[in-house]
Amino acid sequence: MQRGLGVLSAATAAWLTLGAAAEARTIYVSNEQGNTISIVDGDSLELVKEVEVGERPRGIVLSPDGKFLYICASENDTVQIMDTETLEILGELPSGPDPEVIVISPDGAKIYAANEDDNLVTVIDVASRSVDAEIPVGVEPEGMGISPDGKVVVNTSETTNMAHFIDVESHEITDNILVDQRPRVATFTADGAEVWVSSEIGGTVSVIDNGTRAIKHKIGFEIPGVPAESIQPVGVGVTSDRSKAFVALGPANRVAVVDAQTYEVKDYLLVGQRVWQLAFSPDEKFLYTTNGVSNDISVIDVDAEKVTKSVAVGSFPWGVAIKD
Amino acid sequence: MSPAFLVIIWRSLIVVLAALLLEPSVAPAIAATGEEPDWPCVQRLVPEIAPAVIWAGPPVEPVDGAAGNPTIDELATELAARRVPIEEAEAQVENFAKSLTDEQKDEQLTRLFARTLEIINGDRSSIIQGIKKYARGQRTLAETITEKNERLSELPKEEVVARDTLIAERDWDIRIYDDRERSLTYLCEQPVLLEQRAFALARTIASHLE
Repeated sequence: MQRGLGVLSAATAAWLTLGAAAEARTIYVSNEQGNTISIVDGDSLELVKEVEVGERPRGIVLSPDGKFLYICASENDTVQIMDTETLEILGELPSGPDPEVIVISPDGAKIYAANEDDNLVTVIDVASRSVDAEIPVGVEPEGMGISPDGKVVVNTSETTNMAHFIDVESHEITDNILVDQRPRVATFTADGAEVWVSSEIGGTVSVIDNGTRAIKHKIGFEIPGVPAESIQPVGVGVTSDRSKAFVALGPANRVAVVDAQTYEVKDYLLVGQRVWQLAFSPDEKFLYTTNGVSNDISVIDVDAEKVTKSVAVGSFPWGVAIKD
Repeated sequence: MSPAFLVIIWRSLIVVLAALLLEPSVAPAIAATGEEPDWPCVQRLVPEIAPAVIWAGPPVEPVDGAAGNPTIDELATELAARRVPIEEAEAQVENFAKSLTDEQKDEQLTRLFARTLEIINGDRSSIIQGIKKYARGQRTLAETITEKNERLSELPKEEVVARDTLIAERDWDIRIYDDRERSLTYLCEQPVLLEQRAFALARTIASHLE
């Protein structure tokens, strides 16, 4: 009986794997100036389509089931909902004014948006398409991170130079951590142990211990021949096993490869111009970066730590999301 | 108060209001960073493209102008020229790379990159100086307009000819100022376009390195 079941489940597993391999990978890129989303085939790395969306699209995020792409249409003061099958805009979510970055809860029920001009974080209920709450934060909130368990949201305020830790239940700020100038991005590690915060003008990445809520390390960057003011850390991505991290360095046109255990910078990879945000493929074999000024995305082989290809997309690519 | 007196006050108010309303359009565009008073562009001022910012190949030796290699200099001039479409430039780089032996490749391609960047930086520098001069000109013009508005508010209403002349001059100045402001977006894009070209060329040249 047991052996029979074993064979059956092996066959099922094989069938499921075949099914998964047949599914195409899709890379979504928001183009800030082009007002479009570029659809790139993740296997052939070819630009398949440019879909017109709202004005000044920046932060984009997929629903956990991959059915929807949520797009911050900053100039329209709204978050658009795109059906990933049909590529049509189905509707909008009330985001508050000028949403730049959003994060989604692990269950897909809530979206948190940073409203740059109004110094707020807006909590959106996705199902009812309504606002749950508005949380006052520091000046010019931009970066948003959410813990893997969905219990904590971190927002960074650009002018106040802080990372605000927000309890998702009470909507209260529990901790304010001072970081270096102009914090842009806040990313949790997959185990929730650390929050990495990049400071664009300060030129550093602060690694915050999520338990003690204290900065445990600050990573600096130095590239021979590149002026210090060109090194502007923005997007940060850490592998799930916390072995490596990648940091986009803006006008330095490079991504730093960091040993996520020792926090040492191992290498700098030349990608495109004004590299801004980055995201891993679900299997973390590849990292995709958006290069605003060269109007393309770069593909990095995570294991080899090498840039393999650049793909031309729309005008001023900003955000990137990948679906298998 | 006599009606005549009220009319004087009313007309003076209109002149003052007009001057105030005109102020915003006359105020020079403020630089995004505020670090360079003569820089009118939203884009950050990057005076020069450092080779390392766009090149990860062999280190660039200081290039002594065109000295050393007329072939490279001629090709670099062609590549740098904005009128040459980037696809054509890429083809020319490929041809050049094919003409080199494996031993020559890295050194010659690095030199080509260095010379091309030098030319582009020269062009960019001229454009940047032009933009700064333009900004200074606009500032001076704005001051002239403000000064004319002040004089206008002081001129008695009886001086009809003087007032009309001054109004005509001021309006003409405003028109010139506004026309030039409209060119600002295009002008400010030029240094960035050259940066983009430099990066694309660097990438193409680097793709042929050993």
